[in-house]
Amino acid sequence: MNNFFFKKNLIYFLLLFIIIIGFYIVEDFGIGIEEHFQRKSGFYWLNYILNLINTDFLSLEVDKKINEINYLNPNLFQIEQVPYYGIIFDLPMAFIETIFKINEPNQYFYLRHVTIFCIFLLSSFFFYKIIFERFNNYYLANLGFILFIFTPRIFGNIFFDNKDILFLSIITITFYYYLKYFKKNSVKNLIYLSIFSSLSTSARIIGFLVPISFIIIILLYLINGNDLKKNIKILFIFVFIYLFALFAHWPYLWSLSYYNFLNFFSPFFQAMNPIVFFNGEFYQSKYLPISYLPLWIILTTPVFILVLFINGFYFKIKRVFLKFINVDKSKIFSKFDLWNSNEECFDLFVLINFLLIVFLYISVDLALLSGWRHFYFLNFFLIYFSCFSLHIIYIKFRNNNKIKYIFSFFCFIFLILMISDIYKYHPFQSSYFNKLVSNQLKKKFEIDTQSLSRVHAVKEILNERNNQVSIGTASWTPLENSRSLIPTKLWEKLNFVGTNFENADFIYTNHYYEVNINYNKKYQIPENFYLYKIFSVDGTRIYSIYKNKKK
Amino acid sequence: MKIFVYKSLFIFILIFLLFHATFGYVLKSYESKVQNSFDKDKINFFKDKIRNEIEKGVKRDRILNNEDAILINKFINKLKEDLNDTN
Repeated sequence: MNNFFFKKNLIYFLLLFIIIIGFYIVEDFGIGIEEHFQRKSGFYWLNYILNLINTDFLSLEVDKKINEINYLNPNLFQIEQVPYYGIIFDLPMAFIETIFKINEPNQYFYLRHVTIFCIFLLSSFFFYKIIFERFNNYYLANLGFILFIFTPRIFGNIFFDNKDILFLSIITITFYYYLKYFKKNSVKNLIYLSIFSSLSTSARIIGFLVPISFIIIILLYLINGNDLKKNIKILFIFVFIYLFALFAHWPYLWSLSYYNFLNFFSPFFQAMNPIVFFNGEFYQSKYLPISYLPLWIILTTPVFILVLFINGFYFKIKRVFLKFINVDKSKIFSKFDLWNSNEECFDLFVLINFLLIVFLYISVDLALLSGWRHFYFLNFFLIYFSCFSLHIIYIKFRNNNKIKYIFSFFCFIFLILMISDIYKYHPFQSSYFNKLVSNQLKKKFEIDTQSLSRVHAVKEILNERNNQVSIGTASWTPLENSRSLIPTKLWEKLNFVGTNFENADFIYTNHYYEVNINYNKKYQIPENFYLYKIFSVDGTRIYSIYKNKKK
Repeated sequence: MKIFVYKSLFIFILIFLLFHATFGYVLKSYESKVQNSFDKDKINFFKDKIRNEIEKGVKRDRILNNEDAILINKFINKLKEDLNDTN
């Protein structure tokens, strides 16, 4: 009884533990490079909606906020230039910030950080439920939950990245409703699935693959001779609610003309095309080698998870392939050709989604930058197939307790090592590299691509100087935006001079550039500066500060 | 019919993968090489380099040494003669 009680409720203890840890460390993290733009986007769309419904309610406050953003952050993109970003996080946050009159920058940014942490935690609970309902094993579900949260690069982003982590969270919840729908074909579950699919699409356009995978699965049902009328009805309800929800919550779609709809996907593939430093070479972001994404994932995911993922993926592909080539015979065992149960159908759905992403990646020239953070949603697939792998291993050795215990012991050791790495890298887990990567190799990659270190660096400089200080930036980092997490009373001490190094007392660089520094010398440190400080974690250089010799 | 659909799907995926693993890969890598060889920073760097060399040359007393000057002079005169002959 005690054992049963513990197994079932372990997740709540874990959740409580992570909430306590999360609230304790949330203020350690800096500010992400896109946060100011996203906040601006939230107010832009809030203002758009207030104007649309023609109300004076809050409009004065919102105008004030927009003016303040334009004054404090004049270099941000105009939303009209890139209006297609989803609003499901930014608009409610702008509304909350306005209605509760939260006017201190560090307060509204910490509120955003706490909110994205809570959303991610909620999605992690959904992930736990997916693993439990799929494999019917509490231990595996708890282990999956821990791996899902404590993958270092993901953990490093859950406190500030309200774009990539938001998408990972929504796609996880969408998968849960998919599993729920196929376990119980109710209209309610279908509606939830449609709504979350639409949220996935607006959060990132690649989320469009989820409804496509669902349609593929329904077509596979039809090929198996399933009730045609019923499946057409399901498809109709799904597509109708999906489109309705997409239009209802994404104001960008309201402003599109017929011509824009015909070219709906083209704006999403337009990119700034900066230079990306990858594996010791400089590339244009549109013309990166195909190894870009796989190599980043291999170097920055714990080896333990990589091995489990490869094993699980191999077993799943093998299983589907064997079912595929034995289509005629499979009817003896099951009603369907490619799966035996709803759980296996879900595996296939996950696999189709993953393969569609792989096919998209190898066939379309995606402009990538900033490591693999735009693909952090792949963490769902990495951990799901890792759990599948563990499930296979436990089934294989279910009668051999000795091997099971040894394997569990090794899993425990790897978990401890992973968590110790998180501790070691704190609060720069977003710059994590696994044990396979030497310190020399780390220098061949961009590190602090989200400019998380700028608040840390500015605080360091402020500790050194009591009077006013001028700080230059020798990297692609809007350093002045770091003010948002610095108390406002210290703002007057700070003077940000950008690349006008002649006026600077200090120069900050996180070694992240949008140009090829072998040919473009705009970030070259002048000779009258000396290296004052290097901040490194586990041999990974996060940022450097140079000091003027004369000042 | 069902087997036909499965086989078509299988063949389509195989062709897709085969294309991208062979022609697609080669095309992409050449496109990438060409585009990355002529990025804006490199072009600006070489423009500046040429500009600097010209400026340096202008500042010097002589750009060419005597022998080279005579040789180039002869060469230009010869070219002029040839061009005049055709008229």
